[in-house]
Amino acid sequence: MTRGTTLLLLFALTVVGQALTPTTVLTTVDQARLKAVFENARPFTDLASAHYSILGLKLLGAQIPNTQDNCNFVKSAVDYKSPESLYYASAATKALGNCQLSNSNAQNTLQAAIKDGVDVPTLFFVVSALTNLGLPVNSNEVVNALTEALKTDDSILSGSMALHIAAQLSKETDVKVIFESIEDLVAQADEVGEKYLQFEGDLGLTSFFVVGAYRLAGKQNKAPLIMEDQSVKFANYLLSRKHVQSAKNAYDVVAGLSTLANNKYHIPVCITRESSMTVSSAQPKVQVRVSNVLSGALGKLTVKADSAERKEDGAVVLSNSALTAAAKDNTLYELDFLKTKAGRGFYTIEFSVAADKPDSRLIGLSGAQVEVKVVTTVNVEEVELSLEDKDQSTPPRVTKVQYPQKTAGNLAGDHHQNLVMRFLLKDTADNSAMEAHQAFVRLTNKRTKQEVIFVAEADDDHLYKFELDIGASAKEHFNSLSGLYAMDLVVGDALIQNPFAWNVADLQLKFPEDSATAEEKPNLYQPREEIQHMFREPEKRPPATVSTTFTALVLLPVLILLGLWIKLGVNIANFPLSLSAIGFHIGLGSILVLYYLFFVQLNMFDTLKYLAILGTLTFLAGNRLLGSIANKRKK
Amino acid sequence: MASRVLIVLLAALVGVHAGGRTLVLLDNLAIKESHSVFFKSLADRGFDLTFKTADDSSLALIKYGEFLFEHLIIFAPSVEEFGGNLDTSALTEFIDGGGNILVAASSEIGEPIRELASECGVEFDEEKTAVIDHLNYDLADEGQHTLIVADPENLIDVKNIVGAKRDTPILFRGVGMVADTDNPLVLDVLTGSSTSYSFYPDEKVSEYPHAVGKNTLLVAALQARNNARVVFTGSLELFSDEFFTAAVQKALAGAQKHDKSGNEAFALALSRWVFKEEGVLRGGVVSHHRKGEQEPPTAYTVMEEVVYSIVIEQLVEGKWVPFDANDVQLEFVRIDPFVRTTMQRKGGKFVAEFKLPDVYGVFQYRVDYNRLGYTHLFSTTQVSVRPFTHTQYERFIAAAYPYYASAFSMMFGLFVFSLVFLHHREDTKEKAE
Repeated sequence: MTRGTTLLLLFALTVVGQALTPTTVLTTVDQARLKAVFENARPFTDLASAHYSILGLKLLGAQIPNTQDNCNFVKSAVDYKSPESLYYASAATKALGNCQLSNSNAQNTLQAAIKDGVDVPTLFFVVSALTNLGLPVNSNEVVNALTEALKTDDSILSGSMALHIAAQLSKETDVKVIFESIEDLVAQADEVGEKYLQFEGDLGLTSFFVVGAYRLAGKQNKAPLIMEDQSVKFANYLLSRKHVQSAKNAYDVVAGLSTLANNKYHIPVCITRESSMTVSSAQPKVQVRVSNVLSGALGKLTVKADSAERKEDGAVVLSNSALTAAAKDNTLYELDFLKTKAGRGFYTIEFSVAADKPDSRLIGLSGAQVEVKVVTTVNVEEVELSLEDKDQSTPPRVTKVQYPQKTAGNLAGDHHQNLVMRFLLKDTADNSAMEAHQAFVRLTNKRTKQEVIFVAEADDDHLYKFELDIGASAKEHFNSLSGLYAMDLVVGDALIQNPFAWNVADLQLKFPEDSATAEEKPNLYQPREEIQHMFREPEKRPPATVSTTFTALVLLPVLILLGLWIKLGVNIANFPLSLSAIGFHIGLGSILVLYYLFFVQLNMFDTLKYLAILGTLTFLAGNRLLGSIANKRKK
Repeated sequence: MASRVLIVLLAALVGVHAGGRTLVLLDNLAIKESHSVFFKSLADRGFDLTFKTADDSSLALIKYGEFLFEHLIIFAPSVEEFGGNLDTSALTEFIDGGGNILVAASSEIGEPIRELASECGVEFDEEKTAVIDHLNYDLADEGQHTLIVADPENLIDVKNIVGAKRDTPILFRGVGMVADTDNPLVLDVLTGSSTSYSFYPDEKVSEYPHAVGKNTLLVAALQARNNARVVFTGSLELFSDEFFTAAVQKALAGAQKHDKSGNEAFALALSRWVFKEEGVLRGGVVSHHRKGEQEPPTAYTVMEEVVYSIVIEQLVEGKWVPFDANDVQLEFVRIDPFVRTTMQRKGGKFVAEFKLPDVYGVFQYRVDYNRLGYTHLFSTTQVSVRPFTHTQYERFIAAAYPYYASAFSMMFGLFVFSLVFLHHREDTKEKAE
């Protein structure tokens, strides 16, 4: 029986533990950013964005700059024939205050628009504009037209518009059906990850519905049929969209959130971490902000930390301790977390809130969770570096190093050795050995800056050991590049306050000679080396003097012949002065000249042509000459 | 009114060059809002954006054999399966067809994204892992040291891809990658620092992490051989409005505070590159001729002096302007290059003058300009080079003078001898008789 009750109690606790609270709020920084978004919408280009910008600033409680310019713009941009334009203009002028539209013009258009067959949006614009302008609205007529229009149009947008319309009608009007439609509309909302509730992923629509529902509820003085957790989920969704950049979206966020921060029924309480997530001896306090979604104060509250649980092992370090209100800010509460002697780790703290003066509007009073981590500083101790021969022939040389110094001189290792490093990481808080998420040994080639990183592993006593077989790793990791390497120990962890990269030693590594270094890959994106074509060298020729000498020698026989002939008294006294003799010798001479010309410039066909003519003539002349010489000799 | 129509028309005309049809795949439509600055910048630059959720059953990239989109943005890290006709093979086909893809992942990375990445030579780490850097994390980190401050010196030094040099760091939270070392086309756009690594933040480092040190890629890019560009980033948040406007400060004592992160400048530069607004070249008119002439000959002869010129243009703000560089090279290739020379820029043209080699055959003038951040420019022009005709050789060689002399003295001798032989009168003999 007892056990059953405990179980039940546990179950109840778990359920409460899952209760939703918004995990973030619209902080003052966010509000300033959204304010900037509204101000950046200036200079206005259209009435709608002007309206969003002006209303957004007003909701944020900011000064609206250049009120008169805004007023002039609205007046110049308004189209008195369009209910939509009148709606934007009237909302803007109402927010601006001393800015008056021409009521009579507007009234005609608006009154005329309420007729049979009017659609919901027009009706919404008309009723809103009339209300904004302070003109009378015929509630019954509107309700009838609305009921009629809703029969053909059951979209969520129209449903939400109906809420807004109903909220602006006179109190006596019967809008029970519309009020009850809130429940149906909420049922159509999509839930994302049990955290967000929204309509079709549409920020504007979601915000518009939330504003409408609470507006109507306020008017009717009845709590809207929205569950508390649904309300929180709407708030979560709106808050998740707080980084929007357009004036319209920013207005949607601000309008929806200010409704949820200020209405008669549901005000989600937000508990958010204000201090940094890190808790350390220098910063032992966890500061949380308890506020509405707009970071506004909620009155005097008592805030308690129900429990704090370490994530890794579920150890509970704290239960039921009250937070103290911070001095300066009435939404801030503090908890000295290190009083609990919590060791390093991630903790989930669960808070609950109780108002000093009970307020039924506040929802999400318990189950808010905030995560913090307790960090520590780490010391590296008992660092030993040694180079051990693989064959154990000589005892290893052990070098001890003290953080943050470096070994004196370089360590030299070659491929017959193993490099071993041992070290201990100690938590300075309780001087116990610990393990870090990152305990890497980094070897950086001092020349090429190439980094090789190894993971050091801890044994069961948390003693870290790093072993490197220099010979075996040469090719795979070091590209067989011998040289000077800087050896760093990199230690880091989410829970370590002082992560470090410590240059332990410089190593002179020598890898096997024979292993060829891998070829460097050609860079595809570099200009390539220029190529000059190597022209073939002309063959070597004998010197000119040799050929000149031989030319002279070759010409010598002719000269000798002529010389001897002259000595012998050669003559051509028998030359007959006949046509054939002259013709033959001229012909023969011409043929020889033709050969010379062939050598110098003529081609073969021209040469043959000329030779045929000259040859024929020379043949005939020669025939007769030789004939006549023969006849002369016969005589 | 008329002038407004004119402006719209003009805008439409200008917009013809810029932008292009772009499909944006999202995990959910809220991403459209949370990344609105990035999308707005794209829309302002003339991109025609179509937003769909990644599991939309009507997804298709090809219809009737034509690509429906020129660019694709996948901001859907956690998608388990794409909707419609989209899958890894359709995406690789899209890249093969010249489409550009920008992919952003996160620690909730799904299988299709990992598959697409490994097709492109980039290996993402497992789901739920994150890049961790205990020495370079931001002040706003949520405890696990996964909100990385990436120093600008870890950016690739290519202006076209990452924009002008800045000193503002980049915020990154997401999954790490490594590049396939066998794929030379993958570019390390942004790497982690040498103390970073990629692992499950909640688990003990029991095995060698997927990516360690500077091998940890935060942003990788690939320009395929057809000039299609693909960018992978491990962080979807890198593009978010929140990171664009966030202040950055390393969580170490005395770290410099930057009021605005470098994310916006980086993301926009990256999008300009991946969607071909930056670093796009095209080759224009090619002309070549003998030196001193104007028209190309039917065939060149070996050893001639030639002039080659090519017009190269670059796309800047949607317009083609002459390209400016001093490292454009011309090759004269017959199987292997015989000549490679750097071209000079002369009034919008690149010009090279050189002497043809003493080898005949069919050659190509080849401009193969492949630089980081630029599209690959490849232009070839085929010409034939013939040997000397027999009349073009050297005619009078000094060493042959004895042969010439002997031949001509022989001819002279023949002429004189024929005269003397035929017409000699032997006076002395008659006197003796």
